[in-house]
Amino acid sequence: MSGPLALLDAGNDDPPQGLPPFDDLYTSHAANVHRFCLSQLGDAEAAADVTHDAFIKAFSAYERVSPDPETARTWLISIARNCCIDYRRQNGRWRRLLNRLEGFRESPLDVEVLAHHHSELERATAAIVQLRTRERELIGLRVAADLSFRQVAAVLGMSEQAAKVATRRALRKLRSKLEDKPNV
Amino acid sequence: MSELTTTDDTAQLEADLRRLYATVMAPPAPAGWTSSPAQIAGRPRLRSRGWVRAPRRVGAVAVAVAAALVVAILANRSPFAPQSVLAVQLQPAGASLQCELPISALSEDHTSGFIVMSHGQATFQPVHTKGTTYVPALGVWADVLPQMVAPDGRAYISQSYTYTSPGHLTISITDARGTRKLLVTTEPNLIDPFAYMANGDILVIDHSRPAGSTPGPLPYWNLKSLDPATGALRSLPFKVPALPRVNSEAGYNRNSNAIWYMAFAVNGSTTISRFDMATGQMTEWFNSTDAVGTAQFVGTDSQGAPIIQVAERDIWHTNPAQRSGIGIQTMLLSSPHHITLLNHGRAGNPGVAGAFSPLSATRDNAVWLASDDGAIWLYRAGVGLQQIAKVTTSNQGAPGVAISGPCQ
Repeated sequence: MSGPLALLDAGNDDPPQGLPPFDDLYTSHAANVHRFCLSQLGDAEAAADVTHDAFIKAFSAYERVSPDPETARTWLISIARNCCIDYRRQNGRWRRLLNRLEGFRESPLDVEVLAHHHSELERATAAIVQLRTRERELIGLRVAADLSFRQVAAVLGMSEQAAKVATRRALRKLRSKLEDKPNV
Repeated sequence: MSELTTTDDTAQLEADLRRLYATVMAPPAPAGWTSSPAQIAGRPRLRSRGWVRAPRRVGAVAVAVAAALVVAILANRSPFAPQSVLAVQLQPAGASLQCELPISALSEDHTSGFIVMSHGQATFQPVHTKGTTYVPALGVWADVLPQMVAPDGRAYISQSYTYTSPGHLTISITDARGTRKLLVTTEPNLIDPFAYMANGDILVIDHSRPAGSTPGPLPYWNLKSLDPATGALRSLPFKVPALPRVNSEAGYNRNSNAIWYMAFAVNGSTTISRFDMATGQMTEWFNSTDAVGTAQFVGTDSQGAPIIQVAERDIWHTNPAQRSGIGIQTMLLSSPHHITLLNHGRAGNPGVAGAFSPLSATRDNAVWLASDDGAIWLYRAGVGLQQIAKVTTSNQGAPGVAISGPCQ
């Protein structure tokens, strides 16, 4: 079998002793995972889908990995990051191809569905999703997922100091974009 | 320049973004989230939109791949042939140079390699690496910042964090004998490395709070030196003042053996001060009476004198059209408030140095710098600042390169 549902066949009904119910994990971290996905995809519906996908994958591996409470968020964000990469890879390719073949034009970002009364968030997200992949991830991990620089470094496989410097640069670039297009 | 940055001009933007995202609520949990895996497996798939679109995507991909092949064949080249991602054009000032300059492209492909200058020509030799800094004595590329390489280039330090409870931070050293642990610390008393200092020790910051200290930010950094041979920690003979909370940054520079503080005022002016790591003395070197504008520290000469750039407004635009026309000066500060102008003009004009990356490299009398438009510049005392080469990278991502080590 393939796809996320196939992975759910593994595991026991009862979590190992000492492992909190997965429901607690969702309650504690779903908002951060969802915010990160929104910052990466700029599309509220897609962010919700990918958030659910990430938790399905996490659920299938939860008992095997048994993450510590301190590491759970980083673990979930790492899964979400991979889900976002997969989504963007498929969706981006699809959109580019349709652009070329059918004169397809990208629809406006869907963040207004979620945040029609959050125009600032809409504007910021629209600018973030235009950044390079690494810059987008750095900002998303730092401000949307609310990770420490040490956690950001762990997710991206770089040194903490490098994460600090790169995030600062990414924020400067984002600021320039926001200043360029005050009414995005 | 190594960075001890704790606050800077992006801190407010970061705080604003965090506040905005905090308003986003999580989507509702799927029904039966706490049910057994078998029950979960039977429920409808959540990502319905993805499934609906999948067949259309597959068809479009197939058509497009076929189209790409046709176009490529018509163009008489293989679509799978590697494309040149970096081209170098040597400028007249570089004609007499004979050396290899390690660089790392800022474009999406992160190409790294050497610009080989020889007999009036420049070529690019790519390398396969994830590293961004070249360690010459070891002949390897390391994924560390340049300040993590020892002054003699024979070793470098790296750090890794282990997500246990409590977490551990390991500082490792790599030299010709291999990689070994130098120091392991545990939350909350972690010790972070910043840079090799001029004397060969490693500058670190101790995050443990001194006994008896009051809650809140400390007015100084708890900096220490770490002996790379023994792993022994030593306190510095003086306290290093911490940054004010907003609009400032600071970093240690090895050539000058000093921490340089920059304070950015709301009117766009900058004050630069030097904290001498040998004496513990703080001295102001630059303020708005010297030049008005946002200053950036981009390197030092062999004597430790800083090279700075002062722009009349924020030069850090991603769009070259937005940067174009901004007044920018590149200057050498040879002593407090003593300025030597190296280059000036409007960004984008011929012969005007664009915004330099702080990842410069100094060796002997030469300071190698890279600007955001892909130009490689060389400063030499007695010669001045000259453009040596122009690099063109792939059009994916930022143009330009970072200097990954001195030319040798």
